[in-house]
Amino acid sequence: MISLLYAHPYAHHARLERMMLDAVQHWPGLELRELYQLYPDFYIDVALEQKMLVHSNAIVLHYPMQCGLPPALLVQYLHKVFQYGWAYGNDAAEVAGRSLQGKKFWVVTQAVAPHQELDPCYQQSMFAPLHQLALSCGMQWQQPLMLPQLTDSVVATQAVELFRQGLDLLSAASEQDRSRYAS
Amino acid sequence: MHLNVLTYLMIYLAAMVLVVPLAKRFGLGVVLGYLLAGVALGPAGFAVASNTDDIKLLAELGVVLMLFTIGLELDAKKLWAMRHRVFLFGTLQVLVCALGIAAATYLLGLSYALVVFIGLALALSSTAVAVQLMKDRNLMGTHTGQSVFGALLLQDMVAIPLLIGVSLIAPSADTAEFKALPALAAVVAVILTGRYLIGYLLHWVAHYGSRELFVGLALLLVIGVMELMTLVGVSAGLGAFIAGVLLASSEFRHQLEADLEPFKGLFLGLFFITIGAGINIQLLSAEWPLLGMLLLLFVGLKLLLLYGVARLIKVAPPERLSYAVLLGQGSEFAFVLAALATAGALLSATEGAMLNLLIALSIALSPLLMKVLDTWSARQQHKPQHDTDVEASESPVIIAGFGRYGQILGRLLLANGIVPTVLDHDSDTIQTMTKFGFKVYYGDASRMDVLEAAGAAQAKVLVVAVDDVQAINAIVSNAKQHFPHLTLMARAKDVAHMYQLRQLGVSHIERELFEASLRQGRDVLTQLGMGHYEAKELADRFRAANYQLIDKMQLVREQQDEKNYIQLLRQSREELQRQLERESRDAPKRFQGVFLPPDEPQDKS
Repeated sequence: MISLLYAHPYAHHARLERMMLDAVQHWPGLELRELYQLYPDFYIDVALEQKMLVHSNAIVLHYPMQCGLPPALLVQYLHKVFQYGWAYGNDAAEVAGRSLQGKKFWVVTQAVAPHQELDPCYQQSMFAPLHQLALSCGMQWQQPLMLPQLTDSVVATQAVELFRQGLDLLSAASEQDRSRYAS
Repeated sequence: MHLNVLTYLMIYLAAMVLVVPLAKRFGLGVVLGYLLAGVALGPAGFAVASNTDDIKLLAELGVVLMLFTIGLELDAKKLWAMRHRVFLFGTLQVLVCALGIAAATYLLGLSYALVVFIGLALALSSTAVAVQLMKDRNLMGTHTGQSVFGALLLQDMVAIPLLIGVSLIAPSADTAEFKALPALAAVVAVILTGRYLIGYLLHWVAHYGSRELFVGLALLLVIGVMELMTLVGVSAGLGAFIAGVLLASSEFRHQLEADLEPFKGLFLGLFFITIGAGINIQLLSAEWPLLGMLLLLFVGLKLLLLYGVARLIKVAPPERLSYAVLLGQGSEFAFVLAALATAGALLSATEGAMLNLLIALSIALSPLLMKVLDTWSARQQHKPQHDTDVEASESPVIIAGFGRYGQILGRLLLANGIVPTVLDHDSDTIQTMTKFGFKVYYGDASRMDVLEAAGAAQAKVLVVAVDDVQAINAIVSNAKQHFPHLTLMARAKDVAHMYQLRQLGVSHIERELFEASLRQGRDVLTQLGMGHYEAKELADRFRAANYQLIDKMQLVREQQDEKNYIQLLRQSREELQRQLERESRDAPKRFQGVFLPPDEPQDKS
């Protein structure tokens, strides 16, 4: 299963993102969780979310950026759900809490200035905190996808295609995992 | 002079009303005021207080009511926590004082029987005086207060065998006979009815009866216990105390306390007046050197002994004198004992009268001594005079009204470990809520005394969750006046009520339906396809705009007349309407720049 955590406060007004979500709506084994729809008051059902994450092979974060930062609710989500002693660090019995160990962690966002998506240095610094989080949790960091700024419908179609390809890879990998466990 | 009871009552009440405020004005305190009023009415003054057994009975009712209300403040758990103070420290106090006084009387060369009798009789202290003095100074909750009260309780118990003893040594015709088995049966009956029956009865009367019936029932309860106990020769006060303890954990506790308070005060006043009236001025003026010496000897010795006891039972050093002075007087029981002993020829008539006078004078001396002690210790130290370990069990939150509004609030608190004190006047609500673990008390929160009994003096927050506008305003203005330290929170019916509450000084006001409607409005928006978070933001904006409008209108309302106000209100509302319409028309644009690039093509939604 793939958990797609989508965080956009005004998702209904974001065309590209809606296109991308529509494209993967019926993706087999994909669980789309629109955080701003689920938790508009910022009160997150931590137990439920943790259960969902544990059952996933891959976690995808999909969000727009503003001032180089993800939306507030996504940060809230990471603080609340990725708990010390559960996702990383040690739990009360001094046993390493690595509930997300080995899961694939993929970040998808969109450039806010022209050609940012082509600048690896910029991307590295942009994603550094999330990369660090993935490492602490023992998750497999996937090369993030930074989509180009939307200029015309051709770019939009390309963006959707890139997103699908990435999900394809994750799905194949999780399929592999499953067959490996099955055999 | 033969007067009927009503005339007597009139005279006594007149004396109270005239003399007590005067005594207070000159800083003599209430107890001394009553005693002076009594002297004025006594044989030395207007001589209207002779031969008034009916009045004496009413006076005794005052003491019984007092013990009942003390019992109401002590539930079984608190009483159990006091057991050492009662049985250990109390016995110690009685023994030490009895032995000391007996030794002194032996030195005066009296017979053995008299020595034992006087020792024991004078070892007792006056519950009425001590408790009244403690109440005036807020000492009941302190360690010292508890020790004093423990000793008083034990004395009440000791008084029973004492009465029997005297009637055995000096039998007389009119001895109230103590019957062991009936007495035991009576106490058990009080416990059983108090535990199982009275609760239902109170509930029933509260539900079907009117206010005054409830007061009537409370009085009936106390007088009934008093009659029963007197019948079997047990101290009526002790019986009433037990009844009070049994009702202490009842939800009607605060209401009972508040309802009986004026009766208690008046009848207790009567009690002090009868003591004052009993002071035999002729005998005093004839024998004043001897009596003065005896009084000095008695009070001095008793204070000394009590100070020693206070040391033994580890009362804090600055409190020891308080302990001694509080217990350092003769008891109202001693009057009865003296009367019995005189009747049984253990004492001669003169000796009996002297003993009576001695006790009365020592009772009169107590408030004076306490007053001296107050000024002395105030001069000694500027830090708080008495230990501050007042019972801290009262809740920081009082909720008045426990309907649907108060319940949700209360449940939120209870879920987080805060047990609010809840007042409601619907006995059905109370019964239901008690099952859910709430401490719900029956009472009308608009009454100052009920609020006080609910612990308003210690509480931090008062939430007024009653649904009636008049009642809310009454509670709020009362609380503001008498308990200015309380943070007031109230439920408002509408905006107009909100303005009233603001004017009354309520700091936290919620319109009862506002938040719920807003919340449901959000759901309507999302149901129409709007994002959940976006709908929340719109509701938040609406709330903010609404409060702005309310503030603006309040200014206008205060400055303008009613007609202008309504016109302006309409204008403002229309303006707000236009503003909101404009906003919703430009909704997509509104979010531009926040996670949406300005130049991204927008959906038309």
